[in-house]
Order: sequence, then C-alpha cells, then structure tokens
Amino acid sequence: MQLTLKNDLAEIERLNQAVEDFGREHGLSPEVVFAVRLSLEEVVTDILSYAHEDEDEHLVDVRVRVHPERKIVVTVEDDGKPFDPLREIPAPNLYGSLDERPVGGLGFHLVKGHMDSLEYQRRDGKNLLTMAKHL
Amino acid sequence: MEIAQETREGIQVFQVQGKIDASTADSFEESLIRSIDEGNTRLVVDMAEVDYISSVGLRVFLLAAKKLKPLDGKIVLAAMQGPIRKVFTMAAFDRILPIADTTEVAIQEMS
Repeated sequence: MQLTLKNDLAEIERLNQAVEDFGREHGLSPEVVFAVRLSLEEVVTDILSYAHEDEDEHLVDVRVRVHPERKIVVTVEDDGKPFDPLREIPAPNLYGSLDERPVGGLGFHLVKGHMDSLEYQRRDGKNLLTMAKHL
Repeated sequence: MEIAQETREGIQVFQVQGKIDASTADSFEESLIRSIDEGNTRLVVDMAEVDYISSVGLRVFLLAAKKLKPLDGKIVLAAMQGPIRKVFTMAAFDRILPIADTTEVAIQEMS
C-alpha cells in the first residue's frame, strides 16, 4: 500500500480506510489491522498537526508492506522540521490521579505498545519513521 | 460510529457502535458533554460494539471524567472488547476510570 497524503487532517479518514482495505486484501488478522491503523493514525495526526510551521501544502508519504519473513513494515516520510519521536516525545505520566493526568500526550505511547520495533532516520531533509510488527 | 442514548434507573446509558477515532471523536465528545451539561452526572458507556479506539477517543473519556469529578459524578465504561481494553490498560486508564464487565453490572454498582 502506498498513499500520499496532503497536510490536511481530513486525510486521516482516507488513510484509515486504506489500512482497512489493505488488511482485507492481505487477509491480515484484526489484531494486526488494529495495530497498523492506530499507529498510522497517531503518527500521521502528529505530523499534520505539528511538523510544518508554514501554511504551504506538504505531502506525507505512507507505505505498508507485508514481508516474506512474516512481518508487516510501515514507513511514514514527511518533509517537516527534524523530529525524532523516539527521543523527543516524553513518556506520559501513567500513575497520577484523575486530576493529575493531562489530556493528551498518549498517542505515541500507544504506538510503541502496538508495534514490535520503531526506527527513526533523518534522510535527505526528511523524517523517516519505520515501524514493524511480526505477523 | 453510532450512539444510542437511554435513561435506565436514572443513569444515562450510551450504546456506542463502531470506531472512536479522529473522524468520530468530536461528535462522541459532544454527546457526552451535552449530557453532563444537561445535569446528568451518572453515565455508563456500553462499549460492546466498539471495535476501535485511538488516543483521541481516550481523550474524550478523560475530559468527561474530569468534568464529572467536581459534580460528584461518575462515568463507567462497560463491556470493552479485548483490543479496546488493551488500549485502556496501556494508557493506565483502568487506574483512573471505573470499568465494568457488563452494562447491567455498571448500572447496579451505580444505583
């Protein structure tokens, strides 16, 4: 699956639909489709919300492939400012009371919990995040 | 996503069906907040037919719970499917929000 999204939050719906279609075509389990859908929704929403400081149109490139060695590999590439989510997103406070828990900041924590490996690279002026999950 | 709402034993019960995600979380939030603003302080959300939730969905539950606390109110989540429960546990929301196995149990515990 290859999809190029514009920096518009309305594109998330198209992305989610594409992941569901890909899962059906490849006979992926509901658990894997859930994990890929959630990871892409969280990562791409963050990019569309924070990666660009100008008002110009930017494109986000999303690829999902099933590898012969029984794993699914998801890549997201954007031309926003350099941002390594693995280093720059703080771990959420999971132990506070209801009053102490902030609203937000959980998206990338959920991605880490649903995928088996994550890797970030800054390459040719772009952010490239690679996420993989065993099938 | 579809939401059906009814009153049972003075408790507002929301039956949610489908996906709570970036496209639907806003209308779900509106339904819960409107109900609280109308004076309802005991809410049960039947999650049996919810098959997907992302962080924007978690956000809605946290906002509702924070709004209910000073009103001495409560929101209970009932009948979550495995993958949804996994998201709640991962976010440690099971520490701050009451969870019940069924809607009936949630209503009993509240009334």
